[in-house]
Amino acid sequence: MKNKISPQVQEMYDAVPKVILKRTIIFLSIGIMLFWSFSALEFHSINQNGLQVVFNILKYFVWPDSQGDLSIFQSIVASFKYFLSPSSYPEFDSVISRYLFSLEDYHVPYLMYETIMIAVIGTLFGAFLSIPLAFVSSRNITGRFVSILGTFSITVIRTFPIFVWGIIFIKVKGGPFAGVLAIGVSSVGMISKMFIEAIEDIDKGILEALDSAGCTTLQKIRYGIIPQLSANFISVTIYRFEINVKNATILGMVGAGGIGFTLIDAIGSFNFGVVAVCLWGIIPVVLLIEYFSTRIRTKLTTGE
Amino acid sequence: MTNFFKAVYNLIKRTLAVIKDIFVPGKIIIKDGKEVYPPKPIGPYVVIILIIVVYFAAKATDFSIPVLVRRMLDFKFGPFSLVKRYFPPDWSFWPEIIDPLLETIQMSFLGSFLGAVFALPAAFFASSNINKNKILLTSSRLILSLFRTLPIIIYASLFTLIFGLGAVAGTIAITLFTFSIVSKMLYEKIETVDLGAFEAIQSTGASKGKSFITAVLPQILPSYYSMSLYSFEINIRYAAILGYVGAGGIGFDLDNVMKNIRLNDRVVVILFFILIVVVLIESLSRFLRGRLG
Repeated sequence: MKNKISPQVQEMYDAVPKVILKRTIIFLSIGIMLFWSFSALEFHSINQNGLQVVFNILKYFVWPDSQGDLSIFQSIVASFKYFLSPSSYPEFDSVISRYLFSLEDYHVPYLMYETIMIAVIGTLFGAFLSIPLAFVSSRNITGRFVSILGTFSITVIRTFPIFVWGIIFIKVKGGPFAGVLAIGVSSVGMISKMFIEAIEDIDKGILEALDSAGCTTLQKIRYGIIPQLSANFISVTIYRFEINVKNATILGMVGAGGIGFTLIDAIGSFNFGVVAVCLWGIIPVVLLIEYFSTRIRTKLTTGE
Repeated sequence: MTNFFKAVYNLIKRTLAVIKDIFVPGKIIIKDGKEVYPPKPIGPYVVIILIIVVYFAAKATDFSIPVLVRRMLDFKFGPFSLVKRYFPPDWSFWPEIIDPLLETIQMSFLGSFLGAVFALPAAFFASSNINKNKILLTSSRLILSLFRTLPIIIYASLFTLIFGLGAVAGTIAITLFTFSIVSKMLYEKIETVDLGAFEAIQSTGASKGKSFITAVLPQILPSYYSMSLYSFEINIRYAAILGYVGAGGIGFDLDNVMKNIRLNDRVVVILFFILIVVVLIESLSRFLRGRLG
């Protein structure tokens, strides 16, 4: 049985571009890439105790004191007693979950405070560095040659892994100071890239209008340029702050401050209780920061 | 003398008025007698809070500009002393890093592919206009945002405990990371699409999944491909550091040559090759995303 198709419909069908060849090429190239990529994986090295490790991580994540003699209830009571007066409960030294509540140095709240502060000052430092760099590399301000040079240096900064910056800046001063500088310089890459996009989108009509009203250069900057850029700049900086908090949690791995060193050390020594405590410190903080950053940014882009 | 005091008094009064105007501006009376209230300022308050936060941050992190300047100008022990160690680079070393470099690309390609594939069903469950089941919606979103909180390298180091050292752990970490970001971008995209066709197909009695595939998927596919390419692009840069925790890729070699003073002249070579790969893949991905529109 043959379906009858009206000639117009048939014409339309024939007019549909033939994409079979293109699709075949795309699928084939993706398939070849996948096949090639699978060759990188060597499954023979899988740890025999993998499942046991997963189980342990989850167990400790749910309750960091799984190994101790105390029950969950006793442990919570102990942690809070320790939180209220650290000196009077020395017998709870072995309770791991107290690290989550104790306000002493090098316990989780202190480390998270340090991590956030690294991200705060690092982001501000990065934004501060980005502003001149972005203006220099914008095509509509400095012209073709200088802007290409500027964008290239931004790309170089962006592609260096953050640990490289961490190791370089340890030469200034070890600890959180190096973290601040590493975060700052590595955020220059993204922040100035976004700033350049904002600067290149400036509406020149407004500047001409201000010119025709007889404004001075300073007034043109104040009323013509800053209002056009500020919302975008602030939004980018807040977004980068969100990323930088996550980056600051790992910078400790190269000795540049924050919670990273404690965390990676605990993972390396199979000390899952401490790992869990660190994760319990990181996760709520990052979630909260992400939530507020999204809210502020939507408010900035949609206007109150 | 009284004149002087009067002048000082007036000056203080005027400054206070200006300060008050910055924080709580009063009404403005225009020539024709109308009263105008300026918008409530938040800028000055934000600046004050920021200054306080920066003060405490500088205290917590030992940040100080003088130390920075002094150490930057210290060419013997400061960061610029590394230039002497890193230059001239040992270019004859390059054949040794081709393999780890290719492994980095393989890891990030496979991870991005798998993550993007898993992201599609997850986005289906996490978009509020398609999934009307509140519990399922909230729980899937919560799980996605939980996955997003931790940096990729922490996942990688946890996975090395499970899967052993090597590219497998890195690939799985990248998969998880890509899954969480692509599904977030995707469900945000799904929430903006036109649902007319979806409802029309559902009204003919088709199941939710089938009508999603026929009506919503064609609308989101271009952005889905573009998101997957974008995540591949950023994963290359993340994959370059996974080797620090032994999860495969070029990071291991980079860590090694940075730590070992005798191999320091290789650092620039590795960074140069990372730069080339990242720039190549970024421009390829930009080109393809431009074609997708």
